[in-house]
Amino acid sequence: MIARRQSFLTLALQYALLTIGLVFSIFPIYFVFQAALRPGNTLYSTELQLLPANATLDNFRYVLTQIPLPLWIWNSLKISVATTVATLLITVSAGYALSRFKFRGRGGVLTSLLALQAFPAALALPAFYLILNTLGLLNSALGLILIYSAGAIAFNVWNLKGYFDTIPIDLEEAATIDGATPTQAFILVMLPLARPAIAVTALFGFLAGFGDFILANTVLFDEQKYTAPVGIFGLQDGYNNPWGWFAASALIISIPVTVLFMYLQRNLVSGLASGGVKG
Amino acid sequence: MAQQAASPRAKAGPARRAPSATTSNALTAAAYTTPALIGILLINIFPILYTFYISLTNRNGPTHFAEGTYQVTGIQNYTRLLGQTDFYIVFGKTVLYSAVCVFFFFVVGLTFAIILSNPAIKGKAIWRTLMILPWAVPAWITALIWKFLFHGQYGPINQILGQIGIQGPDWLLDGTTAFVAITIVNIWLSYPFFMLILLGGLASIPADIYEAADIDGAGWWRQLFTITLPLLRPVAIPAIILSAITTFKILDTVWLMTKGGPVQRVGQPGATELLLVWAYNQGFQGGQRFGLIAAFSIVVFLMLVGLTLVYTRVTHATRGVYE
Repeated sequence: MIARRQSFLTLALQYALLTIGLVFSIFPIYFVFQAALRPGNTLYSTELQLLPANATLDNFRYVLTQIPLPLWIWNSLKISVATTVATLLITVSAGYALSRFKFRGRGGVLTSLLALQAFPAALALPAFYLILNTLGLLNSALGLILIYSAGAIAFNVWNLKGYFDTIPIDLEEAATIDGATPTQAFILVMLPLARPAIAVTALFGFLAGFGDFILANTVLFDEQKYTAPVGIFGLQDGYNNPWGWFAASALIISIPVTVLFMYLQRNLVSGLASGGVKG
Repeated sequence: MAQQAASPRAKAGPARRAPSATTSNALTAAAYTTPALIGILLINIFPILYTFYISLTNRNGPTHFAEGTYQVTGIQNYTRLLGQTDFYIVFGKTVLYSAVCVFFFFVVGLTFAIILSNPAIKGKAIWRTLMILPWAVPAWITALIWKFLFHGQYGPINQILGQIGIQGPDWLLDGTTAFVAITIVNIWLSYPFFMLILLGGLASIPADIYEAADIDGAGWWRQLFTITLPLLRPVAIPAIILSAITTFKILDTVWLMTKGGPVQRVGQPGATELLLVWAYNQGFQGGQRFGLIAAFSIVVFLMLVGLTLVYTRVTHATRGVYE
């Protein structure tokens, strides 16, 4: 909405609201940051301290050297990158096909994709366990990659299809007239144009790999195989471990995710709004 | 006659080409969609069918999901589930939770989207970037952070309240405040999504509509209700329904914060035991009642499929397919 002739007061009110929103958004993150810098158990104090006294990197040193956090993060990174690549390969081509080729049953496919999203997959642990056990993929990164990348197909295909729909078909036709094969037209013309939606798909693929706790906690038994969430879940039990260890680990883990997020966030509005959400 | 003879021949050209074009289209489409199809069959559809099968058995464990011995017992799990008062209590609470959450996602998201669309506001990109940071933090980290923030003694929320002379409650140990706490956390997680979606929506509303309304003397609130909200509908309604479904299915965030507690009376669902949290506790945290949980999953699935069908109606999401 365009506001006109704004008095100083309305403008001040808007900045005040923004500041409240900003504090709400940033405070928890700031809190973790300062908690990670605090020595020992000073966090368990009933006094409010928002600046760490005697800031130290001990917590970081501890989680990086005394527990297998680097290994767990490496496992998570491997899984997330592989999930991203697999998700892109599977969903971009399918979304494109659903957008461009008219074939019988296409409407049914689209509605079913949305309906599949409705299943509470988090409760189907016995089914996933059975699949991974049958394929011999229990306690392995590959099993998780399979489930994460396939589990996100429905939403991503839907979103990508919606985005491809907004790109005029004339562009491919022009490329075909210039002698490109349909596959070349897809790769050279369409993919660059669909960059926002592809970026969103990549981001969601990566977040899926980094964000899951419940499934990974169920199918990984070996500490060496743990992903970061499973590994550091045990650290947050404040009765046995200083919360600073959890805070330091949480920060280290959030770095790759946040960097990627900030890098791709420019695409979020266009990549989502014109795709899945507008339909 | 001549015309009748001519017209079939005129049609013959495209008609002869059409089958081969369709075949090659179908083949290309098949090649492009097969990997997705395999993934969906194996990872999406098989678990649903298998869950349905388990829902008809008396399977109760064993703990680590290995196939034990169990028999098909028919719809026993369904009658047991739907005959439980707990189910309806938990269900009602989840509906309430979803409604409250989505209301706040929308209102908070819209407020900031409107402010950040105001040309007079400086540094929009910075505000926006910092405010969507919560979205980037993995949800399980979020949950564990907020669990500490809400801690009665060590949590900074109560310590800040203490500074201004308010004795804060033991948030996660009281039913009502625990419910408020998980609502706040979910708003924190989700308002950035609404803000971004609505920013996109606001940008697509032509400025001259507001100019015309100005000339007609319509005030700010009037413009909000007669121009902005109606024109945001196409963007807002899908986002609202999608996040209603996601909120309805919330599990990790709540479970990691409260495990569904606090329990007010033994044997009754805890204050924050929303549908999936309740099911997760019953099925995989001690209970091992796989059959019952499978029946539960199917019931929730059917309800959400209903909601999804409403969604496709409302948004005409499959529009264009039949054109």
